[in-house]
Amino acid sequence: MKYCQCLCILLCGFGFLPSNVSMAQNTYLETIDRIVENLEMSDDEVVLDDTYEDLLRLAENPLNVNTCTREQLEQLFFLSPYQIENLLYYRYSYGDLYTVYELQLIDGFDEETIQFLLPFIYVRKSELQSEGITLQNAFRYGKNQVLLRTDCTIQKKKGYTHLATDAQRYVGNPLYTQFRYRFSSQYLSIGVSMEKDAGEPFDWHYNKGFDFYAPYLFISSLWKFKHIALGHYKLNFGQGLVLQSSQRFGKSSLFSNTIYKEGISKSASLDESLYFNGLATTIGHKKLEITAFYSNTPLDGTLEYDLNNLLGLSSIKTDGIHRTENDFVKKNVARQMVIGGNIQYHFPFLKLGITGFSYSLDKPSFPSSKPYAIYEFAGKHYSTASIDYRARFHQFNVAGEMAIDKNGAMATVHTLSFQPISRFGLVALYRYYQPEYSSIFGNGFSQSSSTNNEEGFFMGTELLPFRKWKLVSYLDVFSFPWLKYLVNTPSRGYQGFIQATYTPTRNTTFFCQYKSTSKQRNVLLEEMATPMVNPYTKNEWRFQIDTNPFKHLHCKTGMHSNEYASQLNHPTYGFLLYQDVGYEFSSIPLLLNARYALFDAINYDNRLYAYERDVLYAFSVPMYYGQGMRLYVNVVYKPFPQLTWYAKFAHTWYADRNEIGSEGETIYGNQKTDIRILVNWKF
Amino acid sequence: MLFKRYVFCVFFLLSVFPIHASVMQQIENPRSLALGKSYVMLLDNNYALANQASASFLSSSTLALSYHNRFVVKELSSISARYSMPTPWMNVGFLYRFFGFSLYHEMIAGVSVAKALSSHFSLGAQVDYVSVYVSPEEGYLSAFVPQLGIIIKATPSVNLGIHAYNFTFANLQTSYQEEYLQPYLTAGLDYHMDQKVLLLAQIHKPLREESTLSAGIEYTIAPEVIVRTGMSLQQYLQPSFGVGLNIDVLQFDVGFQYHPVLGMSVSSGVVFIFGK
Repeated sequence: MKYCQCLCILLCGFGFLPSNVSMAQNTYLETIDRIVENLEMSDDEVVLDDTYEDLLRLAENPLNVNTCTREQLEQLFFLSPYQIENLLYYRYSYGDLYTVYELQLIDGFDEETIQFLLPFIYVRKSELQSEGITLQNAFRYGKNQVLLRTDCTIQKKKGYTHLATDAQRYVGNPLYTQFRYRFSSQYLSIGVSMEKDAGEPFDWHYNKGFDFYAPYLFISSLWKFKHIALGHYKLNFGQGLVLQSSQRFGKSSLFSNTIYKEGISKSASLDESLYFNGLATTIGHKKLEITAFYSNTPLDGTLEYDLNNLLGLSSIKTDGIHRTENDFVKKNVARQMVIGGNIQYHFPFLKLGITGFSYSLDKPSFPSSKPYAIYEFAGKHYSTASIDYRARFHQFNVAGEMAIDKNGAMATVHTLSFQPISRFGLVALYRYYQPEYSSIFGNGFSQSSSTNNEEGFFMGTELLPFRKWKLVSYLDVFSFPWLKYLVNTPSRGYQGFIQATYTPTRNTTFFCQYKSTSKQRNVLLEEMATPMVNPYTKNEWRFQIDTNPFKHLHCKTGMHSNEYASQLNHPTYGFLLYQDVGYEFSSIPLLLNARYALFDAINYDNRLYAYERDVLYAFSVPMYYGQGMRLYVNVVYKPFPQLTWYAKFAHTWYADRNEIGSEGETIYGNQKTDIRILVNWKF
Repeated sequence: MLFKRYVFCVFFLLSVFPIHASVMQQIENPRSLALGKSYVMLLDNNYALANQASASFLSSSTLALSYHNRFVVKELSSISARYSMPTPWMNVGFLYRFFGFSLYHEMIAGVSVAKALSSHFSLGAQVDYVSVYVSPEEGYLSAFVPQLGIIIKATPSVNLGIHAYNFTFANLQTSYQEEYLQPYLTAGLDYHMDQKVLLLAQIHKPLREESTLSAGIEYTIAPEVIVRTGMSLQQYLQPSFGVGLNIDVLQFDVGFQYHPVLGMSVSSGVVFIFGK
């Protein structure tokens, strides 16, 4: 029966899937762009550069669909638990897949899911899969990669000129430089990433060459050790209340909020604050997994003194930028040490976990005396622990975590997802994070950027009402029991979202979206001595058409608009209209992408964001604020199979100002031109 | 005197800057006016002011003449002409437009090219020489202005059009200030419900003005007779309607649009199709 089905699919399925299944790099970049853009379109201020990099690495090391585990599939966050379950069930029932075209036979795998999945998988018979690590096969089939990138802005910024004050003057040159080396095989990854931001010095006086280094060694499947990480690494456990270094996806990725890759992962990221540095390992024995880690990292911040006595750290700096003398005064002024672990036990349909860590600072931290900050972490020591669970029962998935910190403050989150049929799914989530709960390395589901001071209920649905149509919607109602930055009372709000995608042909997609957010914030009126808290509503609309008029050409037309309305002011509007064109030459290994965008968002509250194609490993979602136009051209040239050149030219022209930026970043003029070049060599 | 005041008021309402009065408002052919100013996705639009990419679908040479009048004020009239010629490589067009009266007038002379790169995608480009007579003191101000248009057949029944005007931000330099010729970007869709009914929707965004939403319906009663209606919404909702007649090698179009404050605008035109 299965052979008949396969034959039918093979005979008629070629019209459905891309003709070249072993996708070229350019094609998988396009798919990754679509995945990330889908996330960005829903949650424009979510930071996804880590996710983008993870997807690139997964595409470079695809999974064998016949041998991959549930845990590996969960890394592909666009797959729902139902789809993962169905894929595993299909493999269990019918044996190995013979071709990727067979994915169409699996219940719940719609066209978009298969298109998204293709760059990350391949099909090979399971018995051909090699086993365990040895010194020989650790290095066998490995790939080396060297990557060099440099960026610059053509216009001179104030920080590099004599107009800059001492506090604004940049010590280094205006070139951004990044270098990465990586060796990776199935079981072993060794690498180092280093960078110097624009304005940072490349010398031995302020820095040791580059400003930031991220070395790592990551070994998988060595005897009882599931993972060993040395150097930089990331930790994600449970629902992220205690430990989550990876960025969280937006609310519209409904099912990724219930499942997320857990455990240790390597960190080649150049984020200078979100990483652990030291040693971490996971030991697996049957259904038990034990993870232990130790990390010691430097911290940037401001030290406060009382006469000559050190009081401690008054603020922690996390932007990783060291351009001025003042930045170097704040660099590496303290060290943080973290030691902890996680224990997980896997029952057939249930996973239980315990996570905990102890955190020490070598200098005491004291928070701001502002009322909204009184619950922030203070002192030198801190510890927290949590219990998490995840269970499957028929079409139900439940997951949750309960955490308690050293001071007895609690945080809890519970999720239920239900997908009775492949065309309908529902997710409900409740969270309550006490204002007193401190979460230094946590990143739980929340409306705000921190995992504390929030209570809320989220409900979302995904529906495929007709063939070629997909609807995603959610409603999130939340409250903040204590004050927040720029909100001087406890406050509440909601966010509603609906998104429709229509794919009439495999080359054309229509996409429209509406999002409404209502919150409160301070407003200072002229006649009042103190600010009053005023509600506001922001409505956002997006419309996009994605089409491939012919084989090598890709066009995208997009329109974003928003309205910002409060009781005290007239509504203000923001508008962005853009056209993208991408062309892949057939005779030469050259790919071009270009965008022309016109934007009109005079008020900062109406600022808009739109994802744009960038060079490899660079994630770009520029903010459109003001009135003007933006043009960019992205070029990918692959003269040899091992060598790829990337270049980007971006020019922004403002009609409403004669000065761009502030402080040392000020450009005197109304135009900004950025150039970026990257060379990627694989051998 | 009263009449002059009226003309002044109309100019003032049209735009804060007098030289924006017409150069900014270029889409004024009779077919588009009847469709609520929807123009960007029309495939067979032969008039002077259109998406350049539409010319790539022409198989014969055409000459289109049109007259446009705003709000029944003689001084707010323009005439335009376009000659389009298919060649083996691409379609080439030449156009001319004149707007205004003795104290203020504008002239545009342009050349355009259009090519269908596939049966689903066509590209058009145009360069205009814009010359504006502002005042006896300032004399003529001029600039070269580029335009780019794309039409995509996204599905068998849906066409998508995009048109960018003055993306290089060409401007007219007066002695007292620099005036940008308002750049704009327009995008729109049409949907062929069947052979007789065409639905259109468009968004037009000039950089420093509010966007205009347009929608229209074109219904082919008989091969010779087409009726059109539509509306555009910026500050006011402006309904519009019009008729088209196809008689052998001639195509006549007339369109009307009503502005609730300023009144009626009318546009009429004729297209000669050579060698049909």
